[in-house]
Amino acid sequence: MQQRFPIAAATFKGGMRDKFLLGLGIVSMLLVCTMPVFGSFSMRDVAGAATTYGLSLVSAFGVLLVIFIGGTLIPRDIQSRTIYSAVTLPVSRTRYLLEKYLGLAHLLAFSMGALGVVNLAALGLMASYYPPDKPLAWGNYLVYLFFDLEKLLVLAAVLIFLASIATSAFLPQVLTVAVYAIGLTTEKVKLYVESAEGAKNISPALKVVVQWLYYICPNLSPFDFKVQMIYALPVDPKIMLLALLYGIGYIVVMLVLASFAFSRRDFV
Amino acid sequence: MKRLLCLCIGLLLMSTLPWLTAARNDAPSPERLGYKPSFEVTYFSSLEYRYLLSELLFYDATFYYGTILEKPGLRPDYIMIGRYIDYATRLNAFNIDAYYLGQAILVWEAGLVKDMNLMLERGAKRRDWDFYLPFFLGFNHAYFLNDPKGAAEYMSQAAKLNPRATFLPTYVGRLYYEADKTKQAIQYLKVVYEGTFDQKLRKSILVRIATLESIQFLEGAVRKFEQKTGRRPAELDELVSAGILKGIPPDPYGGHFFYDRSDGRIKTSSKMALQGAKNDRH
Repeated sequence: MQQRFPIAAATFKGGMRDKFLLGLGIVSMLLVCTMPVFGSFSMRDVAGAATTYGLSLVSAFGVLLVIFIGGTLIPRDIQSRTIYSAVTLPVSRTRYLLEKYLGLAHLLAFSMGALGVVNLAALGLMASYYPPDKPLAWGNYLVYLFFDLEKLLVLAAVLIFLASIATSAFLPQVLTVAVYAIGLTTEKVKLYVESAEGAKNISPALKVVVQWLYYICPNLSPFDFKVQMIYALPVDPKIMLLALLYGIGYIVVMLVLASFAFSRRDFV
Repeated sequence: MKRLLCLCIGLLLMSTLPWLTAARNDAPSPERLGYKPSFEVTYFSSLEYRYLLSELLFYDATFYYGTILEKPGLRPDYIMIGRYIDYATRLNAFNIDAYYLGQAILVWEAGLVKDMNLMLERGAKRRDWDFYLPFFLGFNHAYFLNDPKGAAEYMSQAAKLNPRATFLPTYVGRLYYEADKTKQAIQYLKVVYEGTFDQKLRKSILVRIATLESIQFLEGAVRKFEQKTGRRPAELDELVSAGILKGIPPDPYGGHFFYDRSDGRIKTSSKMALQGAKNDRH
């Protein structure tokens, strides 16, 4: 990877050396270890409660990673002026941007994998002490982790796009948090405004705004497979396939837009 | 020197923490369970953490109830607990803990049987592998709503979901032919006890079973008295004076048992709730 994608390799190494990642990793591992405490308050489903807590932690860890590590990738290069040497390299700006994204994706996959393994061990331990009604579906855990990673990659693509047009690190981070919140809400709100109850309570103008937001912002809800993991529910292959395609499509669109913006950007 | 002084002032101010906790602990109970936003706001703002939020709402209601029980003279805010359980089960219709809590508190102590049944029906549709929810529904219909036909339907569903529970088919039959509700309630509570991990809840179930067993014992003694004298007793002390009992057993909830001549049933002044909730059937 280092020879074929040197910028991606440097981004991955830089991210691994980041103290924020280390701190966040340690805190997350410790929190995962508190799963038995959280689950112990359950009356009937100790393993289910602990799993809910563990999966929510892993997801929150991933989002913080995207925002705080991914959010500084390009702005840091601009502020430290290393971008000048980067744009003079015999690589296109698009390649620079894509390799930055690739490095971040690699870092996300590695971090989520590491935390996912710790979480998996904790879940197995909990399930052996407090057997759930239905045996844990380990395949669903892989599905959950894979699609949670895809959600983070979509979010990272949005962040790269915003960073390619913004002049500071702060603005893309704040906007990505907003996109994250909207992305997890648009589907619910759209379904609500289209329901009989929503039609009565919501004005037509607001309905149009909601529908626009639904199509423009990424819909992150389909990547959430927590409930299938917690309660060992069957996963619909059609939904998985569509979510996979939608996620890839959104990432491609964001990176293309980022490439357009970044190629025309004046750093002087 | 200035820094040291500031540090001392800071530490002094921080030492108010135990008083702050004590003051918060003494605050009126409704303020302790004060989550007020509408369900829609809760649902939309929960992002991808609605399952976690559902658990947290359940925990909040459980801790609140546990705290109230430890304070004599306070009555839990059942409406608020019901709201928490409703939100928890709407955010995550699979959350069995919330149904358990609701069945233990709202039904037995607050008499909110129909509200709880609506939540249980919602849950039974989603947790289609779990026999507990139709079992709860069946029991509520039989014991609280006097609807043996509806109860039998739910119990049949429960029996299909858990063929290992061999008592369920006979339980269904008894709902039709047997009027001994105390026995039904004891058997129901024993099933709930077996499926509960929480030690506090297990303890409270055991207390309720002990109370019902005392009632069952007294009901038997009343029947003996009727056979012996050909009339109903005016009060339970007559069972002692007639030599059927050596004494009246104490109510584990702190009340006292009495005989209600209007319906011929043994009841307790505690209503089997530590705070004496008004709507309990006993």
